[in-house]
Amino acid sequence: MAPFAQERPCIHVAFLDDDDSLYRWVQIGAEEEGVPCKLVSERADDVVALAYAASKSSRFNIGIGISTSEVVLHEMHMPPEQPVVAFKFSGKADFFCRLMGANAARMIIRKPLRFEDDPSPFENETTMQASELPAYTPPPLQQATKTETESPTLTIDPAQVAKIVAVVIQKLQERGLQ
Amino acid sequence: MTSIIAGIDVGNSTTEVAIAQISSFQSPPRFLGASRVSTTGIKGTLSNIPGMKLSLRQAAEDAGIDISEIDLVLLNEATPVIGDIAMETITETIITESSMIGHNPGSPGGMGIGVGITTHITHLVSAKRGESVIVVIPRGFDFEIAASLIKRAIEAGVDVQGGIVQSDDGVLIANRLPKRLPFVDEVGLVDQVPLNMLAAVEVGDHGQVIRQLCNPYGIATLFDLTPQETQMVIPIAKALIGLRSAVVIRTPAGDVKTRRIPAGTLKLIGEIRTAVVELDGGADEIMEGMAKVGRLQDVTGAPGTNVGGMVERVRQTMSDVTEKPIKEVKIRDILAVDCLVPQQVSGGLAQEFSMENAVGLAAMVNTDQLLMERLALALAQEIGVRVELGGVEANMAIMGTLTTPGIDVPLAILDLGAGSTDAALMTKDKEVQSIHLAGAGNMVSLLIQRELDLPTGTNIDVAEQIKRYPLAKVESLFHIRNEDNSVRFFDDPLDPRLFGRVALVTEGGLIPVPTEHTVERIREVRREAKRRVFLRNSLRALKTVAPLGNIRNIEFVAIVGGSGQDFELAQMLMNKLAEFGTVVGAANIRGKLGTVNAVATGLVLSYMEKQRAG
Repeated sequence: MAPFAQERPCIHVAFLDDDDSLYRWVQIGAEEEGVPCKLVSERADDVVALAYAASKSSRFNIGIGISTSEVVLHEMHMPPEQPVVAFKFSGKADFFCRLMGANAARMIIRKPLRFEDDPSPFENETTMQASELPAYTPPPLQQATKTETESPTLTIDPAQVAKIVAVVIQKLQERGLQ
Repeated sequence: MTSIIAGIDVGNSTTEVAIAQISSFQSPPRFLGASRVSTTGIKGTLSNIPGMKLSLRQAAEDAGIDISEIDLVLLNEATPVIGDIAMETITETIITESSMIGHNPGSPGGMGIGVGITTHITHLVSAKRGESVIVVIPRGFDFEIAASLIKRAIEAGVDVQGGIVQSDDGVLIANRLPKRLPFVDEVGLVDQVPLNMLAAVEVGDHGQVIRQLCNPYGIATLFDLTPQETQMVIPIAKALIGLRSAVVIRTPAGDVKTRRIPAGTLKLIGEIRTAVVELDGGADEIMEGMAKVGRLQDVTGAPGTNVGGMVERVRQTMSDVTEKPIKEVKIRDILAVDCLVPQQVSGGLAQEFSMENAVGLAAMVNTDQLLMERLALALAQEIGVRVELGGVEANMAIMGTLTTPGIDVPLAILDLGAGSTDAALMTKDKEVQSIHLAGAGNMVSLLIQRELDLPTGTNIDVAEQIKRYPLAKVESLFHIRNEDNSVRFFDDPLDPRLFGRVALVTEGGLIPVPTEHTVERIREVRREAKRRVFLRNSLRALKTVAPLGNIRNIEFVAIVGGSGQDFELAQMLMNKLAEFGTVVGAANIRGKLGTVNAVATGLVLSYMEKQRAG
């Protein structure tokens, strides 16, 4: 057990495999509700046991276990073999991880959990289609603050602009020019 | 001789049956079975038959006999009244130009107040140095991208004051900025937000509500309004009270107004005189008018107004049911109740709600005996058993109530049903006085449904359930907190779908309530609805039957009827009537059936008495 000063209460998130790229989405989900979370390494045979191990090490008693196909939320007082909620990824791993991050936080702040079939789960921008975007035609950009140039006569799709901007920002960040 | 007879009581909401065996008219009957099922169709119509048959079958099963073994079925005589309820809002808020967004998203971002020109996020780059802007961020802009764009604009010297976000990303964007700015999120119709207009965004501190934008002078200060213009923003400020976040946009032609729908007048035609009351005056004025006119003969509403429509609708329904011409349908009692109902603001951008005044009206019309005779005839044909009309409902109810252990005349009963509140008083010489008033359980459900804005048209009537069961908050997967603040623990974990929700504690377990309201709010609305309908009507009814019109002259009151089973109503009534020195208690028909089956039991008993006498 780490010394008290280092043991800030957090939601503990553990991965069954080495790939922890989905952690970012759990973190975003928890951040929305204002609760911190932490990546921990636990050893277990299956994802439910993993989540339970994570919950036991968390001072909030809340743990999340993630495998390649599933994300599981566990609470220390639950029977070890019975997780609170489990979502199978159906092609939207990032969405479910974000949802579970929010749910883990909601366990702590005592708000009702969110389920995939809820009428109002949040939208994940990766699931958005350009066609769903509001019809909006911004005037052409004239400023030279961006590296790309657009033909001013073209109608601009905001989704495309957003993607290009994302790439530009990423590049800028990589070069440390921001 | 031994015969088996059954009493059937068709009520507004339930149909009840009592079956008894009679060996001689001198000895008391032996009750074999009882049942209670939902009434099918409107009371007094032929569509009641399926419910009556079902109820008979269940009671027969309970008694261990077959329906064909029943020798005689007794039906309560001409149910004297049927009721209907209606509700209309008398104010409405309309925004002709979109100029306000006010709502309570789960988690708005940042906090504080910001004023600036509404600017689309893609236009941020062209904003001038030092210019105050409110960023408008449609869905499709990832929060990280949006945050980076805003951050860069701030670094370039643009004075970003806050933002309006379509998705649920307010917190995430706000957290990624160098300074704390208010972000209102989950604004569905963000594309309708007018751009290049002056706007103010406010997000309240944690656990607090907005302060500036719900204050007309606050808005005036931010937008530099003239006194005339300030007057125009009052409806906006009013609609924003109590919210966690809000946006107000100043559009040149923007106009928000509270329209007062001409609510109209009610003409109360009484025995003594006729009174005209304004519905605007609220329920109290109507009820005062009622007291002045004496026994009500009829009610009409001013044509072309809301209340006129309401009264005519009641009349039409009743005319359809009773098959009487509409002119002959007379309204014999009304109960008016004030309430505040959330109404969607027309022209709002994020499904804003505003609390509007409304009046609920329960009305009651007299029916004639013909209806029940027709029903008796139809039932007899249907089951092949002789069907007779028993006695008057109020007398039957008292007869049934007298089977409660420890009760004797003189006695008053309060029959709290679904459609009407009835009272009857039996004096020592067995004379019975009775009164039927509009408004009972169904009215309470309507008030709860409208005031909490609960979903309608689903299989389970949520409001009805809220009326019946106490509340609890599911605080963890293992414990709930009841509405009286006591805590109950469970051995097995609860359904995660219940977690954090307000639930009803029923015999069948916890049922989540599909609203965002707190336990306290739901409880308050529920109790207030019962107070305004049941307490008010009980007092009104008892006053009418009491000797010399004084409730103090009644010593004992027994509560019967379906609503008598309510978990808190008997206590509420007891508290109130204790002021008059009257003893109130819930009846226990035949010592075991509780408050129901009084009329059905009474029908059997009165038949016996008649036979003995005749």
